Amino acid sequence: MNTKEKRLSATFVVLLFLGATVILFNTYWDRRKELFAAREILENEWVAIETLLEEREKWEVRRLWLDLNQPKFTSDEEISQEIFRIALAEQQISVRTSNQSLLPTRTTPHFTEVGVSLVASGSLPEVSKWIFGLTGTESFYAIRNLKIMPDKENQKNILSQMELLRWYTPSP
Amino acid sequence: MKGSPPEWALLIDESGRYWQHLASAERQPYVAGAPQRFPGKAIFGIASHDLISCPQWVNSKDPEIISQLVSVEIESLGLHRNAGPGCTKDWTSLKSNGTRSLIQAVAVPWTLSELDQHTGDFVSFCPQYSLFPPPPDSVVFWKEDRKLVVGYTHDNRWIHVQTLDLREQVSHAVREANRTMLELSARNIMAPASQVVVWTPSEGRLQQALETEFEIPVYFTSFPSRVQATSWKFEPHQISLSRKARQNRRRLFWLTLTGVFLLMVLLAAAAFDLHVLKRVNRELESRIAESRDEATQIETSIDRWVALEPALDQSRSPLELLHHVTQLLPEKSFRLTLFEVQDFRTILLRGEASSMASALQFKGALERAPGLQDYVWEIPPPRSTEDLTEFFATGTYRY
Repeated sequence: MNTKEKRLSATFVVLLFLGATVILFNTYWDRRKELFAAREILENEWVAIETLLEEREKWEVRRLWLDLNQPKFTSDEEISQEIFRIALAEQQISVRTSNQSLLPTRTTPHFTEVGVSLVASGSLPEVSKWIFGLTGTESFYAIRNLKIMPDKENQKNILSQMELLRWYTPSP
Repeated sequence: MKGSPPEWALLIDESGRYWQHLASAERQPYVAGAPQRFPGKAIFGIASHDLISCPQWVNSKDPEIISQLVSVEIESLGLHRNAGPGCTKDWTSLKSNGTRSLIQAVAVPWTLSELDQHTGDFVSFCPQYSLFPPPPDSVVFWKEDRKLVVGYTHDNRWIHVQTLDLREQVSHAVREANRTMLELSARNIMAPASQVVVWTPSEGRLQQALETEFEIPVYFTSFPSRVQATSWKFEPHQISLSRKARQNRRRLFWLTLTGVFLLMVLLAAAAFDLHVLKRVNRELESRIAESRDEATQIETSIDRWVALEPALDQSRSPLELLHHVTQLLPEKSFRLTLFEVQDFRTILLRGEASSMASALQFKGALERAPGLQDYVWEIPPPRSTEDLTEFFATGTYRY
């Protein structure tokens, strides 16, 4: 092997060495970036978990309260009858209800919903008092759509069109 | 030339032949005619007056080209050595100027039988004067075997040697030396000499001739002792190449070793860095895995609460919202004709005001009401009709 061939071989070896170094460095850098990206995701996840854990006591109390107080699902028929009876407002003197119509029962992971649409009429304070009496925190009643407008037949009264819902524990 | 360089030189002077170690200057006797046991690889030293010197600039740094040019130059002097034993000519490079090299070439005008007899032990020959330290930029005279020898130096290295015939008048020999110096200076082979040094006891006739001819200071000193091989100035080119090749190999070896070591260190550092990053990630994963069930339970509780919130949070009750809205109504001149809540999220309001000012007053109050800050209000400009101003607003739950 003459001098030129030796130099050529040495240059080839050096280039090979440099190429391998560049490839190794590139691989290392890519892997490092991947690990940093993974760490960022993990750190964000951990921050979210830590935030949740800091409020653990509060949400544990609320879960227990819900377990104790949310009305238990019995059967579609029974809960439908109950809300329809409420919607009739038979015991109310100053509030009249009409156009009662049961809404389809709906089940989500957190509750089984039963509802009735109705129109209540009366003076604003009486209707408000009746609705307020229904929708206390522990009753699990909610008013989804409420539309209040003056009663054209009796200017002192209002017409309140609403959907009255109640949320039971999820049906099995 | 392969393997290690020579350690010994077989030299000759007035006392006869002897071995000298090039590094330590240790002497060993040489018995002429008897079979010799070589102390090691050796150089055959040749008396200066037996050499033909030929200094020159060569437009190349390639050893092969330089060798060929030296051969041509030596042969042009009438020495044909195409056949015969041993190496009879050699050269050494004094310095390089870009692509040019200043070469000191020497030749032996006869066959070196010693080199032939001991092939493999005598690796080359050298001129003996190369073992004496030269004074810088000088012309040096000394006597060998009743002949006057003159050496010329370039910086602190020998560049040329010439034997002068003392059968003629000394002044003729000195003039010949001066002409040679002028020629060497003209060819930029040496700088103009600053001094003449004579390695003999002072001789009046010679001193007078030198001072007259050279017109520079003339010094007479005793013969210097031989130097060790560390400052050996005539190194046969094959030995130089071998030494340089060995130095290059050693340098390359250390360079490669250092490079490999550095690469290994970098690789180890990179591997450690990745290991640390992986370990941190694993620890995080482990912590997350340990707490995930508990966090999932809490999340489920939150989702459940949020889903049931319209029934639990009285601030989102339509009656509470109606209460907030009615609190904002002016005592007079404004009548709410519609209050509607859709899907727990949207509030629609419609009203009639007796004046534009009342409508705008209600609009401002609605946008600033603390109890309704969870809603984003879209309120178009109130519209005046014949005797009333119609008002309409839409509030959308932010969250």
